[in-house]
Amino acid sequence: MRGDALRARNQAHLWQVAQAHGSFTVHELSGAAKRSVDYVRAELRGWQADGFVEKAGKRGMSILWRVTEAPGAPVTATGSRTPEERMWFALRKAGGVFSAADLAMWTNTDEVPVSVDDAQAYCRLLLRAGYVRCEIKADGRGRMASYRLIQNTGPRAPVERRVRAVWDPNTEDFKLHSGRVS
Amino acid sequence: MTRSSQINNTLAPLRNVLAFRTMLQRLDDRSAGLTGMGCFYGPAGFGKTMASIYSANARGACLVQCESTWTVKTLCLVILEELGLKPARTTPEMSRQIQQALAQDDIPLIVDEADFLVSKKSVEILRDIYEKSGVPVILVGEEALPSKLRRWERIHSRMLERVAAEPLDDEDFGHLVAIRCPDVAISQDLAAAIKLASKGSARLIVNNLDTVRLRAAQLGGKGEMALADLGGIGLHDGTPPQMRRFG
Repeated sequence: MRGDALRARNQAHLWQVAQAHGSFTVHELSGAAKRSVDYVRAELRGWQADGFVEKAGKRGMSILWRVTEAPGAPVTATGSRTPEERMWFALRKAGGVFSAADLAMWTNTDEVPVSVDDAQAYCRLLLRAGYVRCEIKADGRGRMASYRLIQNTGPRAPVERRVRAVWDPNTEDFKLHSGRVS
Repeated sequence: MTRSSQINNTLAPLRNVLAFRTMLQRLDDRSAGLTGMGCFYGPAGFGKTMASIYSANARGACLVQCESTWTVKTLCLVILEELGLKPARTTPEMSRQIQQALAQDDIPLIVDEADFLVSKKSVEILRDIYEKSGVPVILVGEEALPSKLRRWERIHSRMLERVAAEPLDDEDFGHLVAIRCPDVAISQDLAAAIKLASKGSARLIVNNLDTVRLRAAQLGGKGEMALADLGGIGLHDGTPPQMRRFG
């Protein structure tokens, strides 16, 4: 919820700067808006897909972007939660034992579809990470696995990320990069 | 059944879910001057919590479920935690934080198991939050909730809607069958038996449909189920077992 509002504000800011400049390279926009190059690049990809910006040749070695005449402004869907956020929300609130079918039933909407398979994948992810415990195992003959939430860490949904880490053979443990995690 | 039909089988058409979403929508769209608190009440098992979770997700609302031990401070702490904010130290400060956060991002507040609050005057703080933020505030609770709320005149007068959860009807039953047993055709006698045993309770219907689906799978993926196919398996009817007598 808060994250959405923040995302929307960031995007509105970037869009304002982009409009003021008209045409720009990624690095120029990043410098002018004081946002990271990666963030600007990601936003530009989205805007390009929605037709708000287009490539307009090159400036030096970099691609030059230009704001198109398209009406309106890019919007982030505020208030609309991702499937993972919806599932995490539902399983935290419902309490007790649940199966992937339950989770899909609680969260599936026409706007954001969640299939039983999606729910199953998310349950497995939570199980691997130790957020849920498997109460009843699937028997392969129709009975679905049932889970119970054992680590309710807060309102924001855990998601899978790829991270770079350093392996320390002495402690036999991974250390996440303390800097930016990509 | 095809995959696409499975995906579109959502809870949205269930009458209680629909009623809840309609109430939230009406509170959202209310014209200036109208009050913006709502109340959703009904016996356990009718799917009140399910409806509130579903609607909160769809609308992006803040949902808290009260517990019997909660004080006013706990309520504030939990709401702030749900909003992802660091709570201030005192209750009045926290109350202000909540008001600002809800108003700023236009997040409705839904309070489940509100019966626990009613007995403790904690409802007053919900009224404060509603008054200052202007966002819809919905209390969800047991059958007696509206009459309990009547004791607090200030809350009572700010209720725009009081919506009752209804027992599930045949249409709802059909929707739940499509969601829980998409690959099994249920015969008339079995459907009647399930409806009779479940007494309109969403929880029991879902339980019983799961029993049927499991039984169908155990019979080698049977596509049609009749009452006789259940064998010795009984349907859940929510009654506790009879007391046994020995000797």
